[in-house]
Amino acid sequence: MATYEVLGSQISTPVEIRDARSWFATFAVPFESARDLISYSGLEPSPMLGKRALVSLGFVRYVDGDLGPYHEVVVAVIVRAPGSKKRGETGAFIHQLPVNQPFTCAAGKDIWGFPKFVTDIQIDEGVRRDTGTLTIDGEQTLKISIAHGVPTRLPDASLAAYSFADGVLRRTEWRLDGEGSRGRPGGVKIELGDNAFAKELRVLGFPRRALMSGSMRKVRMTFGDAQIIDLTAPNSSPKSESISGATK
Amino acid sequence: MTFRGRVAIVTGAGSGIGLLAAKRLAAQGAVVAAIDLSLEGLASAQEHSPNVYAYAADVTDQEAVDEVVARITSEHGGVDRLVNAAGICLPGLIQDQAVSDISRVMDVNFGGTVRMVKAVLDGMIERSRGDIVLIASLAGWVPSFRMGAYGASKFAVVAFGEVLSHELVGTGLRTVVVCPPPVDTPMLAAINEADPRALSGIPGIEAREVLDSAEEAFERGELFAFPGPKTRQAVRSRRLTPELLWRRLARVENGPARQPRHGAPPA
Repeated sequence: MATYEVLGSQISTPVEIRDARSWFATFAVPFESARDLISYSGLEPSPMLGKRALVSLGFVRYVDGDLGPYHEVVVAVIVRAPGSKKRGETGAFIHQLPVNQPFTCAAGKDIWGFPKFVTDIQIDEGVRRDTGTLTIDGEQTLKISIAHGVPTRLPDASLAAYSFADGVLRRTEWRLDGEGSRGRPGGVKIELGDNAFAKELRVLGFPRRALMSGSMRKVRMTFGDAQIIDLTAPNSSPKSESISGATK
Repeated sequence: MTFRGRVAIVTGAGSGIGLLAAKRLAAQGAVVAAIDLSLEGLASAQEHSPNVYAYAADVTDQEAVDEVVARITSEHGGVDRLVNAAGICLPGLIQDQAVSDISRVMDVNFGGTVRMVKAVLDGMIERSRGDIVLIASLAGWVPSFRMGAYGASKFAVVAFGEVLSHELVGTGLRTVVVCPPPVDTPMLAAINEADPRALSGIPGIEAREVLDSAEEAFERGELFAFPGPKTRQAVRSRRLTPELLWRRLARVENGPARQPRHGAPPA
């Protein structure tokens, strides 16, 4: 566990999020286009039925946590865990992670190499649907509208989040639990803009129908330290990262 | 409504509903002017949130309120939303309470509401834009034992907010008066400690439900928000069958005793 200095204040891992609200939607997209999209990372999507890959779009309202209050949009591809012996071991590769506050942006990049950047993100909670709107340089880029599903139970999850920044692949242990899950098959409306961010999603066949979607009313998360993964090493087991300025 | 760059004032932002309101508005990208009695009390509202600005002011002090709103307006621009969450509760039987305590509750809860609303109102009307969120209480509809002072202050807030919203029709301003049952906040813990019989340990709802209900009310264009599972029902039973409600409250307070009759409601 480590302590980091971010924009003049101290942050220690594991970073805790005590209260957030999240919405997500899962899509099956053509395997090749997903593979091409994330080929820069050296990771491969986890194949589903041979020629499909899973992509998750989501938005999160962080209310109380070590990173302050902010909104976030997530574009993640479900990938095969590198170096895993077991088949079917997967993780989430974080391909895009725009946020709307500078502190979390700096922390996310410094500590975990998450692809964060600051832009405008609006979350509207409606009577029947909740909508996340991502605006980049004043242009509406992605609008995800998720219907209120029916109450469901999701198991507490611990998953591996992968990120790739400045030529370095990292793996972060991401634990998540919460209350008030709702979900349903489908239930998503997507609107896309015309900039580079939106075009990437068009290549994956968006706007398209979701497999399923849902939300969680009260989410708690913890993020551990990032471990650097060297895919070229013969036995690519994760090793601990040393960051200059970090005291362990 | 997008809040990016909009200016919001939250009173009572040091804890409870006010603190959560400040954090949520900050998450939405608003410029949040967080007001509480002391700057130290606002540390958690400001934590890692560069767009939360702390201001110390006592809402019972007219000069301080005018001054702080003027400062906020000059530093950040016109106020787009006021969330008036500053409030206190001194529970106890009226016969045991000092007049000064009852007046103090009135002065913070009702007087504070009046001063804050008046301080932002002209600017909002001038700009034809502004949301006013008044955190009232279910106690502003349903009086109960040991909550005389608090209930009176919240009844006043409810009436004030209702009249305000009707007078503001056509101005572009919106008003929501939120009337929650007990909410799981430091205030509830303090009430239960000061007088465990006041709320007889009713579990509080979550502060998030209070704020969600306010957003829903804005969306539906409704004046009052009643968060919590049985809140509307409680208001209804107070209006339609007040004697029955008091009999139930009395059973909790001092066993089955005869309660004063209210007489038929005016036709």
